[in-house]
Amino acid sequence: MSRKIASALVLATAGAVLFSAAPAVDAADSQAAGFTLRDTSNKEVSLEEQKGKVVLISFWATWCAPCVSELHHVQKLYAEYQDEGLQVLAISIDAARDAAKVKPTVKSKGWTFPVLLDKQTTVVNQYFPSKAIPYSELIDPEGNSIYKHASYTAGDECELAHKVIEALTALNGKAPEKDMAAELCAGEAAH
Amino acid sequence: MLFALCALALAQDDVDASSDVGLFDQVNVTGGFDVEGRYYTSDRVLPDFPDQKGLFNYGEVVTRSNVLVDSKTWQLGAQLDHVSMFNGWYFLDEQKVYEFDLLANGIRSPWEMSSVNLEKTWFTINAGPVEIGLGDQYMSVGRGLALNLVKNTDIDVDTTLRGARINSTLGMWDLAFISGLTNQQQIQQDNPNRQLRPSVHNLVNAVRVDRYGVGPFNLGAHAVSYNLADSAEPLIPSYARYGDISELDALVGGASVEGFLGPADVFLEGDYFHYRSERLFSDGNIEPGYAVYGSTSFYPGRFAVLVEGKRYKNTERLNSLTTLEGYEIAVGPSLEYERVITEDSSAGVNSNDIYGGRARVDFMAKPGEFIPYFSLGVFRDQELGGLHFNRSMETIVHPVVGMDLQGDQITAIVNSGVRVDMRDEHGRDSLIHLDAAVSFPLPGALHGDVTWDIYRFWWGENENQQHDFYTSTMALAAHHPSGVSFLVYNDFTDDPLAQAQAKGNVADNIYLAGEVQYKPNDRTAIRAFYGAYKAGIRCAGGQCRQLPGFDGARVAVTTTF
Repeated sequence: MSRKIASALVLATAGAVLFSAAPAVDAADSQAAGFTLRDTSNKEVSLEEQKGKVVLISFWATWCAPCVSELHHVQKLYAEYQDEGLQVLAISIDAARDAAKVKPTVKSKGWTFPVLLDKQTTVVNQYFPSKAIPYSELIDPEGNSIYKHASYTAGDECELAHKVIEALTALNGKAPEKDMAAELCAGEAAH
Repeated sequence: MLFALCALALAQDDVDASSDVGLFDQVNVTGGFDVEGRYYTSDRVLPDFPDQKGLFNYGEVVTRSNVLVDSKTWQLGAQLDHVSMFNGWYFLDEQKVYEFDLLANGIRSPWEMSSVNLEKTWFTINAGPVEIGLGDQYMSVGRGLALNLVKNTDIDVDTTLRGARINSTLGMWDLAFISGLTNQQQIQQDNPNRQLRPSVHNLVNAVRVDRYGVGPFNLGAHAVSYNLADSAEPLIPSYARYGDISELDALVGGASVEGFLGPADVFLEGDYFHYRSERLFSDGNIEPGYAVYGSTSFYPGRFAVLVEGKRYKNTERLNSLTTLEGYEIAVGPSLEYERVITEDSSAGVNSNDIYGGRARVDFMAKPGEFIPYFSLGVFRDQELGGLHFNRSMETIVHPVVGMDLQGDQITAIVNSGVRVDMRDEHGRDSLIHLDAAVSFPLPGALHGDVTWDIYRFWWGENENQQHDFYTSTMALAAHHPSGVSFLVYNDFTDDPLAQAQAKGNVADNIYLAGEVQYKPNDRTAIRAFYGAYKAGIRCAGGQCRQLPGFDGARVAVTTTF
């Protein structure tokens, strides 16, 4: 390997490490972009009408296996916290040609949260132009984005549960009755 | 008119926002930055200098910057890519010889082996029922049969229409209009950059009208016109390449109906393709085309059933020129199992004379946790020539079984099937395949996952007989909660076509690689890879692409802000 190439790779690595050592930018108070999409039952759903709730937006596609695994855990959060102010909007970025697969996938997985169709990929473009999914954002009752997470590895649901509980605690002035973080983090603790 | 609409939209925004927020209040700036350094090794030598190893090794650094500025009612975005090549030359008789050119004729750059390109830039404004987009826009109509331009991250394809788009919602009516020139991503983020060519700008206009809520139905109609560039000659100005702009190459009209009928959903679309250009037909004989696609899904008890059918005649002609540029412009549902598309089955995907269907039944054995399924695809491919290896028509039968297991500790997605292309004469092509993605706990604080795709392919009788082959792709990963992951990749193929593109680093047919990943926080990922992987066809989201193999090292950093 030439010295020039080695230097370039070393510099890139050093830059990467320095960059990653910097604290993450605080995402608080950044206003989430508004949108209106149709769900799998043809009903219009907008982010605007979710004001007053904690909203978890999750971008996924039928062909994305990590997305399905993540949404399996999201369903548990939604089932438990729906009545405490959590709304989940799972946004499918399946292209128009795959649109027929979305609803059967949702039904077969037993997901009960609204699943919206972003066939033109215009909404994901507003949130995450690189479109590498899964990608999630947690939005507070005022419409501010308070947590962003790209990709999914087993165990990531633990941190997500903590963030959701934090947001619901702030919304309701008390912690949710059931601690789903304890349940979803059990696997991590078992390790 | 467009500027007037923009002005109206901005004025509307001011009025609406005056008591709330100003036009530039609550402006957010977000974005991402990716940098990847790649070093390619090659065992190729010059015939007269067999001892001079490593002459054809070279390095490449690619960066991609995304920035998005958005307020309550408007968004401004841009994507800037850069590539620099290192060591892509050697000296022969004291003369510097370039192994290849980074830039093809027509790409302007002040540097010989570097290029910077503003790949995408767009501005969108929302004003009540109207959304106006300028710059790079995505658009598909219906099920994508007539027009389908969306970003496909998984296979590094990103072609937009650079122009103007208007979407309007008026009660139960939606109107979408777009006019622009195709703008293909030029710098590859994940694949080698060689001979970067200027994007060939094809002119596309499309309009789509939807009427929602006609009883339980949505009705839609669309029209798309294509004026494909007459010449790819880069030194001719963009607009001058069309010749007579009034002479359309193709015009597509279609309509769709979507029904929500309580226990069942239905969708039906029909499109008529009127061609005017001989260039889209290899024999020069222009024929019209048509497409019919339908689907229905219903959910009896613990079953989810999806049935799809198609009849495509001369619909792929639209892609015959753009495919050479690395993308497809109109992509309808193929109904294929896309993880095992081979050189042979890609002919069916792109067939100009095919009909058939697929049914899939999922059984919620344990709802949300254990879902086995069965699917069966049956097609009749009547096209000969083109991408087809066969000399007679064929009937394709492809059953697949699989399951999705989502446990608290273990997840597993497994699919397996058999595909047989039965030719009316000259034998059959056969394929058996298995793919699995399993995630499981490991001792200590580690969590593991493994993905493994394997298939065996037997060719039928061909004029230029190919070799039957095995292919295996495996990745094994161990993840630590601190954000550190270790991965091992192992590929195998005895397919001479794949080996001709990149031989293995362990043996000609065995490829081995390792990778370390570190995610110090939610916004940053660092990857270091060393080793080799094989070339092959990869499909995602309905599009397929022949991706090259790799042998060398790569370091990448991805971050968002």
